[in-house]
Amino acid sequence: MSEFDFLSNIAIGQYFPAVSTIHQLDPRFKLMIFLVFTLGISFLDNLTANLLALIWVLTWLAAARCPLIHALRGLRPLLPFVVAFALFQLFFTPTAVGCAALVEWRYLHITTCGLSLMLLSLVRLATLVLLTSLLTMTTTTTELAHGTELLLAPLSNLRLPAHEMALIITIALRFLPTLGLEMSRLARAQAARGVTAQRSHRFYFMRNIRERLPLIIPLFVNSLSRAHRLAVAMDARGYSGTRGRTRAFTMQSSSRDWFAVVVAMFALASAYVLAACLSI
Amino acid sequence: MDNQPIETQQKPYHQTRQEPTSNTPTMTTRKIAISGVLAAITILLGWTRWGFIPIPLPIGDATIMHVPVILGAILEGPIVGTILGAIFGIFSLIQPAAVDWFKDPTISILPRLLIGVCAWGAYALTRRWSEWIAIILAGVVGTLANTVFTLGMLVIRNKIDVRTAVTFGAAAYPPEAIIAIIVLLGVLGAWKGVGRRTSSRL
Repeated sequence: MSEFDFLSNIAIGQYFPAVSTIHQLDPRFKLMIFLVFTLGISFLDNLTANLLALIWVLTWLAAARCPLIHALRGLRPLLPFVVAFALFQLFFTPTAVGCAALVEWRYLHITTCGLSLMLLSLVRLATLVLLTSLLTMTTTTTELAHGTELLLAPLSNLRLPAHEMALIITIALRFLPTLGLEMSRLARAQAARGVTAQRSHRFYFMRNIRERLPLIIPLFVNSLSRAHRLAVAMDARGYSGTRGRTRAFTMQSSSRDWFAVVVAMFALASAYVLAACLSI
Repeated sequence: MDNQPIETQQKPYHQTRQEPTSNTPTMTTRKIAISGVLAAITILLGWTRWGFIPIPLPIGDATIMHVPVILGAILEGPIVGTILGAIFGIFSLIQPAAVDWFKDPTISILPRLLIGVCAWGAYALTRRWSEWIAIILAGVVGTLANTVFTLGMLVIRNKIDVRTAVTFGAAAYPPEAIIAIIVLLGVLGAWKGVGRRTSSRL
């Protein structure tokens, strides 16, 4: 009955308990490092430099004692789309000056630029997959939510709803398993009535819509109903935003957290320096 | 005695609108709860691939990942729409299997912030004429905003050329808009009771 199990492939929030320095880091620092590193990698356009960044992330995964197979698990169901995108880049990258043609056959043009772009994308993708897994495997959802709220706190000075944003993320993460179970229940209920969750061939557009709608529309309506009940419960308990709220646990940074920031920035800088050296 | 009109039928809680006062926080509890749950749906639709419906074109699947954003904007206004757009964008950014282009926040997050505002604008402007038409227009405009702004940003960031963007947009937009409208009508028809007769004609 694995076709009805929608939760097994969701890597978000799948904490991997282990005793390591990375597990014990302050979630605010982990989030900041994750965001800066993700942004840095996104703008790094050199294959060798991206390989260096990948080696850094693999080292951190080993230091966190997280198995590589577990870290890549979220990618498994989506692998066909990744391969399709890589092939798209290989065949349809626009030709530019300095690109040598490798294969030219009718409408297909494979150039050195297309090939290097495809390899660059795959390496960058692997780095980002592992980085995301590293964050979620070493940080619990509660820690992530608290970290996000504290990081967004300065925005409340600009009258932006920082606390509310953090609460929305917390509610979303809290509702993920609940709605996943709801999806399983809906799929089973519809399967009992003859509707399959399997995809029909893409030429049957209307059939695909007809088969999907009995699953999607009840999911939305039931979720809105849950949201309505949650709002009533929050009102009934006197929820009033940030005013007068205190915390049971407070986060305090230590020298270990700052050392992690230095290591991460050194790793990112080394990749950029390598990219600059290779481009000269 | 004065003949004061007596309000006999009280609206259900989910159809009332909680007006903010000086004492209420920036967002009402209902806005927070609906945003949180719709954000969870966005994440689930992406992870389980339920949000992608195969279409008979070689460009891939039609997406309904933007539908929760439009739904949030219709139900709770532009702020909720923008927040949901941001969460949709952040999810695109950190989703491990997202295509490489969407690892750039200017492509994955920035265009998505405008989906909710555009959909809410279309809904608010046409709501006085007909609720059904307003929902359809919100679906049309919201999907258009998602397609145009995302592809536009891909062109601006020099990831694809204009011709590819126009071809891709022209092929992907109609099925996405059709599916979005069907889902929105189905969900809002059931939730808000649009078109449902509330009293006897006798």
